[in-house]
Amino acid sequence: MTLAKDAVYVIAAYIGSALLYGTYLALLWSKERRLERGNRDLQPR
Amino acid sequence: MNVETDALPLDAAVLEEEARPLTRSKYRRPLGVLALVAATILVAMAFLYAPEDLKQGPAQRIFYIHVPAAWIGFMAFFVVFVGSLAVLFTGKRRWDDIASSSAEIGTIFTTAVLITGPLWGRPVWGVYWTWDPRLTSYLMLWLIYLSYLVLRGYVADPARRAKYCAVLGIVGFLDVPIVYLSVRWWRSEHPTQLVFERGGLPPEMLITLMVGLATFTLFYAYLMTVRVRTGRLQEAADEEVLS
Repeated sequence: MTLAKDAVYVIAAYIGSALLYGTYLALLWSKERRLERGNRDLQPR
Repeated sequence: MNVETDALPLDAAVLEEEARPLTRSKYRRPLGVLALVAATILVAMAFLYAPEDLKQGPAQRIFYIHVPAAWIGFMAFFVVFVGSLAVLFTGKRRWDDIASSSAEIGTIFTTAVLITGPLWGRPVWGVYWTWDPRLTSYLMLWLIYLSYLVLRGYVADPARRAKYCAVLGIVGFLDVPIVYLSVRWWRSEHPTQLVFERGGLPPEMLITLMVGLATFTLFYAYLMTVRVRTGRLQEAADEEVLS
């Protein structure tokens, strides 16, 4: 029972970390894409 | 605030204008692919290869993401420290790009440590948080770099922002050795560094930890390529609006 309960903390730590890194990366990508669209120098000619 | 602004002579707050590339780094895609593959291997090794700790049980598996995130967080703040020194000595904006990007990414890694640490502490210590020297000094570190990011948003002029943040980046780094040595200087609940000591870690755990370290290093490098470029694009967009 204790081991199963401890496993919940492990899964929460791994999923929590993945969510944090994933959210940050997604925000960076979306900001980059938005800025790329607004920057005329980076538009295909 | 005006007094503080006026204290710096205007010419001292001017950074050298230089062409900074806005194109994507050629290393970006390989770094991203390698980081993703390494992360998959790390999770598999942490759950299938590394043995279960006899005292701590499954909770010890948090170690493989907690410790590498903390180490890479320290490395990120060391990059902020070096970049900040370079801003003050060379006056080149590219160093500010690197320092500010590393500060933001380091704060993300530090946040991850502050999430995984309590989730490890609860089953092992019985509490999520205790005002232990290591935990308290680490929380201070997180707050220092959070204030660095707040300062960046507060000062509008890029040159002054770079100079002020460089000073905070240098002074803030002083907390890193305090965090690292806190478990030796004061009585602490947090375990001391036994990783490389004889009889410290079984080889399977050490290998998994090293894979974790490699994974987080690759991920940090990938994030830097994205964040540095995004920062430059943002500045270019701001300058276009002003001109």
